[in-house]
Amino acid sequence: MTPVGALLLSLLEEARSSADLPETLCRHAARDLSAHGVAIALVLDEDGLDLHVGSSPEAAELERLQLDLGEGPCLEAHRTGSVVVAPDLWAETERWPVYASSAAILGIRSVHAFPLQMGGIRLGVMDVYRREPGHLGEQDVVRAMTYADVAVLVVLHLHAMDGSGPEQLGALEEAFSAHPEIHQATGMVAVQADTDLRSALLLIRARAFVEGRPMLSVATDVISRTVRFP
Amino acid sequence: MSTPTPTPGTLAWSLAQQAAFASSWNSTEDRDKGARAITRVVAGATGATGVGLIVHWATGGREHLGSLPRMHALDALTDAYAASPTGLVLAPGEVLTVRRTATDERWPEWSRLAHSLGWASAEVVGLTELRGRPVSMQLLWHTSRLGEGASALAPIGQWAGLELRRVDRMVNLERALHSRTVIGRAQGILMERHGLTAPQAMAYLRRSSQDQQLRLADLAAAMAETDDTRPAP
Repeated sequence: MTPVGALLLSLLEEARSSADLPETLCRHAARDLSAHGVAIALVLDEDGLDLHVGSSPEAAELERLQLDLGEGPCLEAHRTGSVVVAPDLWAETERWPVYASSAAILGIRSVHAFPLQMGGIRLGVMDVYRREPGHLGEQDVVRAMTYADVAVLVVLHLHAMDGSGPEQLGALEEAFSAHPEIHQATGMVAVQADTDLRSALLLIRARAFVEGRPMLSVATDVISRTVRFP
Repeated sequence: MSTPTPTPGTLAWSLAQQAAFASSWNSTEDRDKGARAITRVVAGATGATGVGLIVHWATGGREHLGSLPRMHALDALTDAYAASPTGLVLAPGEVLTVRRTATDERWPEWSRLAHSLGWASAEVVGLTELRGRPVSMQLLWHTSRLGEGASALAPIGQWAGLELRRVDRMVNLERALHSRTVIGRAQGILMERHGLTAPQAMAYLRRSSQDQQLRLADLAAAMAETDDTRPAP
């Protein structure tokens, strides 16, 4: 059996349900790579950043942080389609000023980001978080790339369960913590501030940053009409 | 100072290959672009200078995907006339051969056009279905394929068919993710303009998409782009 097949099979044995597969994959990968955490984000462009899952609540939090801040190895890997390695986050404060120091505060020293892609089409990124600096060994990198390949298959499988429709993402939204509130709030803020959607997203991001809370929490306040822009 | 070239077969080499491949492909949302990556591989593997995929619709129409350069006239002719090898629905693995486009009598118009475009021979292979629709792949050669075994095309046809399925799934999911963002934003615009809740805004979007016979995602995209959310009088 190919490495991808073997890995998929062991995930299927471990996962309680299909919706549990992405999280199981992250836990499995973290164990296998002796990493502190592994997380997956489904990223389309810099505007659609909310679907993510992690091997632990902490790993999911590290992923959310990148998506909220709009900077970090995950987004860079997605943009370039190449593996992005940050062997020492303490040395990356110019590259990702906020993310590098936030991750360091959470005890993370190095990140490897592997794009989820097939035939040049990119769907997101798998991040490997470690507490120690340095590069993953060659064997581990190959292993991690196998996990990324399996992650693509899992995501396609979950989407196929929804009938592959262009508007149904039920199984994926169940498997990845999904927060359409961020998109809804973006639409609302665009009207409130009389601006375009891209700027509206930046307004929400900026407020979340200044107030030191997740974008989702600002978005929820926008929707419940307890916060208005400007 | 020159950049050291990684040794083929090493990890550094495969990473460099991967990066080069990814950067050579900027726009990824198009199924046709994905299909072209397949037809280029087939061209490289078979020596054919024209390769294209044809998806046959139940209505009798066709969709040409991944056609390599200079094939558009031929594709257009296929759509205009019933009589062409590319217009036929083939079973997976089935192969049609036009040994000499200059003299072929079964599909004279199509063959003569192929000949005038520089292709001496052609083969069409049936691939695995795509979402229930028959698919075939055409291969065009500058030289005559006399004596070549059609069976040689079966494995590459099988590969191309499965690869097209993957590309289709990836593109489909990519679109679905995009639609999700766009629909959420359109919901938000309606919620703010009309004081609706999220489910109310969704119901409004669904009804409008039915009334206007537009896909929900297309309607939402149009709304988000123009921000024209006032209800129709």
